[in-house]
Amino acid sequence: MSALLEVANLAKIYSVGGTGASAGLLHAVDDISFSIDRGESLGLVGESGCGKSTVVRLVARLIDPTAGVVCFSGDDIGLVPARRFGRDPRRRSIQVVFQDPTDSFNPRFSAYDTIAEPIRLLDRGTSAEERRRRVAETARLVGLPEDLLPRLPHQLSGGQKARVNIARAIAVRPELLILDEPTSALDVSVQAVILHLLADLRAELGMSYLFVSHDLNVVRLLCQRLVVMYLGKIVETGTVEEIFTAPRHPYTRALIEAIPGHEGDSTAMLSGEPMSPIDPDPAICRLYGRCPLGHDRCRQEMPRLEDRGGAHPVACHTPL
Amino acid sequence: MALLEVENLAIEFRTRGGTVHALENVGLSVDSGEIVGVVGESGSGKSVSAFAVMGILDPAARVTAGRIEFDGTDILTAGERKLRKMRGRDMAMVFQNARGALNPIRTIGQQIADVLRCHKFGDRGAIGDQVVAALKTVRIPDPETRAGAYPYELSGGMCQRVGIALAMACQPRLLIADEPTTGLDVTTQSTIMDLIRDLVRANRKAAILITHDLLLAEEYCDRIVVMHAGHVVETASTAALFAAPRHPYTAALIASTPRQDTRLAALRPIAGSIPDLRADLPPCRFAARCPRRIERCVNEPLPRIAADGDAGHVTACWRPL
Repeated sequence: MSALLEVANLAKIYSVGGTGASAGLLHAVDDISFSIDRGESLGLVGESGCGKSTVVRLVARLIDPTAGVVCFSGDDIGLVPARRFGRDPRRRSIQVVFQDPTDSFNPRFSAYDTIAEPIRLLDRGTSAEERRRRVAETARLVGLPEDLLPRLPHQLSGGQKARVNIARAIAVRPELLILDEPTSALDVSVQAVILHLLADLRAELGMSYLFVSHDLNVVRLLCQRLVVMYLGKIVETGTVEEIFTAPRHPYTRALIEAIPGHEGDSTAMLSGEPMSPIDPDPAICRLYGRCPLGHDRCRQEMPRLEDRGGAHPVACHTPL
Repeated sequence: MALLEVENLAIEFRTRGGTVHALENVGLSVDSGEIVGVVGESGSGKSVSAFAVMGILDPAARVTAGRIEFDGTDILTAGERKLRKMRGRDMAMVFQNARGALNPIRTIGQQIADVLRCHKFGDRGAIGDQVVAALKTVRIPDPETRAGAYPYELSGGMCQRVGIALAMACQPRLLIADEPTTGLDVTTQSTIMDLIRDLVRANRKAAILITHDLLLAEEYCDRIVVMHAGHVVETASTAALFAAPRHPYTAALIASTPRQDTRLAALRPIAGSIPDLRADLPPCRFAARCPRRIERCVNEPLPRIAADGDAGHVTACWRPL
């Protein structure tokens, strides 16, 4: 299989705090590399502030990277400025399902307008009749009854909004669908419906998924491989089975132990708060200070993500 | 006699769109030393029940029936003066959005001192020390300095800890935690929940944990009350509820919650959604979504059936599993 998306040494650094002595550089995403195969579903997990959303925006080309390569279908799309990517023919191939439909919908657009908008903008020249047909077909794919199409967002339930949100993203039949916490605003009963829908759509349309979530129990249902991030860095990557049954990074282990219902031993817990992402010391492991296994080498040399004699790559000097 | 008894509680809201029957025949009890979970989908009446217990219902709410007794005091007939004295001292609440629940223009130390002073709790001269001690119990690092911090200077997890410190400052006998970890990361969530559990266990206090997260309730609660559309559908010990749920809604809720060993094919959605509480509803409000519905469910008032050999496992269903 060839990679659909290949990200290499990607970085996004923001300057914060004005000028002079107070100025600093916030390392939101710091030198990360990963790839997604055609038809594959990759999970991206980590806590708030770890850079998940920045990765989503970089890959979706909504913001420009500071450094690195975003290679889609063999082309470096990172070279196209974000403000011009909206008119790029590849815009339609990468679509995003945003987190909270209540915030990301235009409140004055009906469900029909919301789903038709990307077709109108990205497939210019489609006739009104053709558009109507495609909106109806997309609505059918996501299981949205046609009589709900004239409704405005506030007239829809949470589950219906989630369906419209997905329909909008798949209306132009993307090859890569980025899902940013697609179920975190939903009740479990509706979440189960949406997860089934997403699995069916992937099988039916042959899309690849980049599935971003903080809920590991949800991610593992839809993904084959996982990338675990901590403070802008990838700390571990591997198949879902490998990561869940034998996590190798102390952070991954703490994340899994913290899931309610997991038989945990409390020694795995992290203490304290994450360090600041502003001007972090490039020689110190980002987890140093919170890590129960931290030692001298961890504050002298940043561990790199590499094979360390185990099943899958991990960025730790003393992997588990 | 339990510390908190809620019996037959019914609450409605008069709105322009009609009367919302938010709660009907709700009953629950909490003993000292116990953590009771209240679970259900959004709109099931979990928070309204908590607000009723605290006596902080919206003015638009009307209690049409029932009784709430906390440690011998009837909350529904007690005057506001009496309730003000009790809130914070005898019972306290941790709110969902901690940053929003704190005063943005006062330091967290001042806010904790306010609670202590208001209830004349402890030694008047040593309030500074008590504030530091309160921050210490919720394991805020460097409490002496942090007492001078404003809410915006703290992370979400830290604000939630301050919320718990505020609620626990006067060592109330009942703590109500309304989705205390929603929006927090899992590692922070487990720290906060461990903290609440330790505080309750160490001092034989009692707590109500309101959550939509079944797995969280399973891990931290002794007993669980399952609510659906303003009804309590099942009450049981945590072990009994998960081992042998009796109400079809409880079973459906468990089957729709992903666990670490769940396969996607085994994940079952719940049909339909919570009914419109303004409508004229049948005695069982789950009937329209229920695969086990029989004639009786929509015609006769709901029963309260105890499980064989477990009087504490009660379900409001004519055809329990």
